[in-house]
Amino acid sequence: MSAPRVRARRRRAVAALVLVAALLVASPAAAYIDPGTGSMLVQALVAGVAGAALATKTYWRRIRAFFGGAPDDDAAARRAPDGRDGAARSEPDDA
Amino acid sequence: MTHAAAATRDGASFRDPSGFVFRRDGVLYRQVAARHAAHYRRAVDSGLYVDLAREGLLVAQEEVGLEHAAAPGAVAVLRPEPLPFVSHPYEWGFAQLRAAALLTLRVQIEALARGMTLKDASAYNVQFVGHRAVFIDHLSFEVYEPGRPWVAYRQFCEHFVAPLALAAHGDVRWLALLRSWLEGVPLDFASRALPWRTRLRPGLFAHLHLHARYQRAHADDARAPAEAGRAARARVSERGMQGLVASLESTVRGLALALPTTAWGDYYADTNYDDAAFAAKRAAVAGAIDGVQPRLVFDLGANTGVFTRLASERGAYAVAFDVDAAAVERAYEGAVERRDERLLPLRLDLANPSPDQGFAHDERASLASRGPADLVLALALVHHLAIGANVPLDRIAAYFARLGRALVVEFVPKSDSQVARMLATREDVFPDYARAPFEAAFAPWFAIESATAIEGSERVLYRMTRRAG
Repeated sequence: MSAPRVRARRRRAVAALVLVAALLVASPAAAYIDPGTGSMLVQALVAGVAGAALATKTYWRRIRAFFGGAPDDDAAARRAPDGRDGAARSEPDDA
Repeated sequence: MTHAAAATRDGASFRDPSGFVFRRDGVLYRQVAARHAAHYRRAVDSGLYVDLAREGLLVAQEEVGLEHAAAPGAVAVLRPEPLPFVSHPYEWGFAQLRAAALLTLRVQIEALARGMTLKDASAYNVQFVGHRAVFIDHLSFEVYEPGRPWVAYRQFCEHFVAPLALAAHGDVRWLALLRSWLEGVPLDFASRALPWRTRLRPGLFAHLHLHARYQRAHADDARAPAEAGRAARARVSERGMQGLVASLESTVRGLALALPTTAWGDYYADTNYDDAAFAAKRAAVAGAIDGVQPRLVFDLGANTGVFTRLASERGAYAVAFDVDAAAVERAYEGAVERRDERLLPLRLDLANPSPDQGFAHDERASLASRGPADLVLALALVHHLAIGANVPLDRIAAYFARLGRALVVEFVPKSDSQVARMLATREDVFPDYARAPFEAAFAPWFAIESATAIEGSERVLYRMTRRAG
């Protein structure tokens, strides 16, 4: 067997091993519904942005509070289980 | 070890291998499978079940002995508190679907705070007790692994975000899609049907439009292992997860219904009743309810639920069905304002009521399968079925007999202006629409207990009892 062919086979074997390892490590809990490939990828992106937005918001509130800004009433409004109070509010989406 | 009495497995409880729901001797149980043991333990030990139930967000349940198990392999058997009536998301109004979405997110927040996460976000995990949305699936919780994305994200968008957005930015009648698509509205469909301007809303752009585009782009990834591996390696930090849930919440809160003024929304401002006749009708209906002492009442064609309340205020659990979206929204608004846990408004077209459907017609029960009620109210309704939908009187009577053991039904004659208005634009092909044929049509099914002429109108209120057999 020629050296290039051996190298190619070895590369394929390594690639296959890496793939198998990735799949084993990546899905420790089995979801019974199909989470959807596109849905998982877009979620990672959206969650990244939303997480950063949330962090900025929290940080901004702390700065405002430090300078004696008004305490926000968001937290209370968020907790309404039936969401009634939210109907009148027109909060911007903050994805 | 299994119990001797026969257990009937719930027809809708088969997707999740974590356990299943069954009924024995009329009592509802939920069996927890061994594979779900660790998750169940965490939900109990973290206080998640107790805390959610205390706040009225989750149906309370108690753990009963393993001897109650319906099949081998149980690690626990739960007995959830029974619900007064099971409704389907395609029967809810917009505000109810929205409340169910917010409840699901609230439950997810509470779960995350205790190291757990929802593994599904189906609208069918939510039920209503009057105005109050309540989560019912105790096995939806699994241990949260930091870094792992929310596996229920897609389902949440399909079950809640897509139909709510279509109703808010398109037409409330889009909610009818949920009856066909029990697994939610496909995002590519919603993305295409929504007006372009919804792309300018960050939440809808991300969770619907961008989401749909990603789904399309990665639809064939299963055939390309490298791509599939990429998705499996997708990571969402804990802060990202909180941001995602907060973003979904703000997106849902940002959706509101612009209700058209419909015939029904303003119905009570424009009826055939003057105040005295209205009071007489109320008294007659209240008297009939007192005579029956029902526990479960179906008010068919309930409009905003004014008469339904006569039943719920007398201790019955009353379901107010109406075909009109605006009427259902108003009835629900009223129930929320009163914090009414005995009156449930639902959307239903009696000319085409909810069927037995889902796999093997056995997942989502029809209206008739969820009955019979102790009492059916059919006030100012029969002319809509008989004349508006051309249903013969004897078929109306037969259907009512399937729905309830007792009946309070109002007959509205042709001379009444409401009926005259219906006949004004069409040919009168209803020679049998009169009191005598009406009574004859109901006689095979019901015994007429009383017939009360309503003072100040030409209408008659009947109280009937279903014949045995």
